[in-house]
Amino acid sequence: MGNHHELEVESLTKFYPPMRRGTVGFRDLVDTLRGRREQVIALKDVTFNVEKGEWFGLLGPNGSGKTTFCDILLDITTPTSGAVRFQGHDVNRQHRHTRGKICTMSYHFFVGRVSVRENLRRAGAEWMLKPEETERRMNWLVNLFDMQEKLDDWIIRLSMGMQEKVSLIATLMSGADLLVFDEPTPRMDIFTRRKLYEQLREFQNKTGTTIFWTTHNLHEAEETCDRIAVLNNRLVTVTTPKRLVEDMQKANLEEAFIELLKGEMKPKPAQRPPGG
Amino acid sequence: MSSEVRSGWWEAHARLVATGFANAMRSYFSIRSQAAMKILGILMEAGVWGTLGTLIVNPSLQESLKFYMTPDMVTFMLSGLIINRLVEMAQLFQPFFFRSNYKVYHNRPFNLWIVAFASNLDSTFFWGLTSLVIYILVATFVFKVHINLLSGAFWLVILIGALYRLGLNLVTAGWTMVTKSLEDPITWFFSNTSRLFTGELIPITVLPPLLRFVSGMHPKTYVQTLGRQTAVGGATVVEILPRVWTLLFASTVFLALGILTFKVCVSRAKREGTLKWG
Repeated sequence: MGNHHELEVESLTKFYPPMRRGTVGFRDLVDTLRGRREQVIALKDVTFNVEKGEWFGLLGPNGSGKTTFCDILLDITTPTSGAVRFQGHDVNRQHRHTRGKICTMSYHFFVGRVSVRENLRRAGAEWMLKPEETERRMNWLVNLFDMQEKLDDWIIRLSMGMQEKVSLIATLMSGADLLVFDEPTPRMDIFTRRKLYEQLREFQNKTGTTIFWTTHNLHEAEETCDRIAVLNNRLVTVTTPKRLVEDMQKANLEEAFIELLKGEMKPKPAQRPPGG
Repeated sequence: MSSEVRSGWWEAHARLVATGFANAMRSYFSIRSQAAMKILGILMEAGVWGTLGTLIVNPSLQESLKFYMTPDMVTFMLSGLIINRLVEMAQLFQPFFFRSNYKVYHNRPFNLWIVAFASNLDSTFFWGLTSLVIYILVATFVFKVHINLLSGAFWLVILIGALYRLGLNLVTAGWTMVTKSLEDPITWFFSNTSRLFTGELIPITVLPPLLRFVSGMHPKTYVQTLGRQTAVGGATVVEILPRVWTLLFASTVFLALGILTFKVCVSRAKREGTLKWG
């Protein structure tokens, strides 16, 4: 594979070992030692590419492997086989080359009894931004998301939706090349969401940032994503929302999605991997 | 990354440490009564130990105190508590940082160890230092204990003791990343046996032979003994050298065990997907 794609996913497979259930019996122990414990298939042979500056959506029902995929992308989880390459570097095996280039909205550390302003200054420091650049980005984004009045409030005094906005601002402040949003909007009201889509698109056009977006909200995906991949522990399809709607001859993405996955057999919760 | 918007390496790291420390202090002192209560608590604790030490006047302990080169029980107890605080404070990071923050900082453009160190400076180091200063002040001015904290030999002992603590921290960090528990069995054992077996508050010479054997396995036993002999007794590096080698060996073993455990556990946590928990 060349370096044509911003993100390359090649035959990605992930099996999780079964979760412990509190007590371990003798048979479990023997099975573990003999490598016979059954494993949970999260992803199997998933291959697709994402282009630079693209808004790429990852869709799928609960337990379809979306979050596992994001965790692999962030090197929080390692794949069983296959690889994810970002800008030509394997995100797991060559993590030092991708560190600082990928930012997720899911993981920020905020101090509850400290103001939004000071927490965002810290976020700027975490991405090596100069103080004046931190202030510039913070002020711009805070205005964009109507958070001016909350700047000097403690984080713990904000509603969950407001806290998500602060996470979003911290994510956008990072200036990372790839922004990962794993179901970012469940607590946001429709006005904030609409504004977020508009502003994110504007931000993306200005910066050329690639956006990786997982969601259950199919209206959201239809409205925002340039392309989508549908997962169900395996890759079902990679297409554009419009194309999927047309192919399935449905009125919208939600109905097309349901039609696409109708008859899809969900893998059993615990399966033995091939050759395992 | 453009240098117009990004700071240089040193500047960025300094700012990371400074902003983290400032926010931790803002957070802590946002409830001023909490900070005042904590300081008063430390003061009272030091007072209680000092008073207890003054009350213990037992001629049969003289031989034990001579071994540690401490003139009386109050010096023995307060110097032990100060040495213990110094070793605990010298640890470079808190293991629980990795338990919950690895996922947060893993993709930041910083060295994760520097972030862990900065995070440790935030409040643990601050309160460790506050506690240490209070203990030294109480020992010196209230109980008239003479401790020479400027001894080079003393700091050598503390430094080697800190390596042992670093090893234990790495074991805890790895274990808690995988299991998301609060403590690992090895650190649990060495922490819980510390006060009884290392001579922090009770001279090991008064222990029965079997328990003294356990003391011998404890690196802190050597830190406590050598720390007192240098800071209170005025022993030089040459005088303590044979026992320093033993301490260095024990600390090296713990450090190696810690590094190995941490590496294995990170790899396992990534494989099992437990890093994102907690």
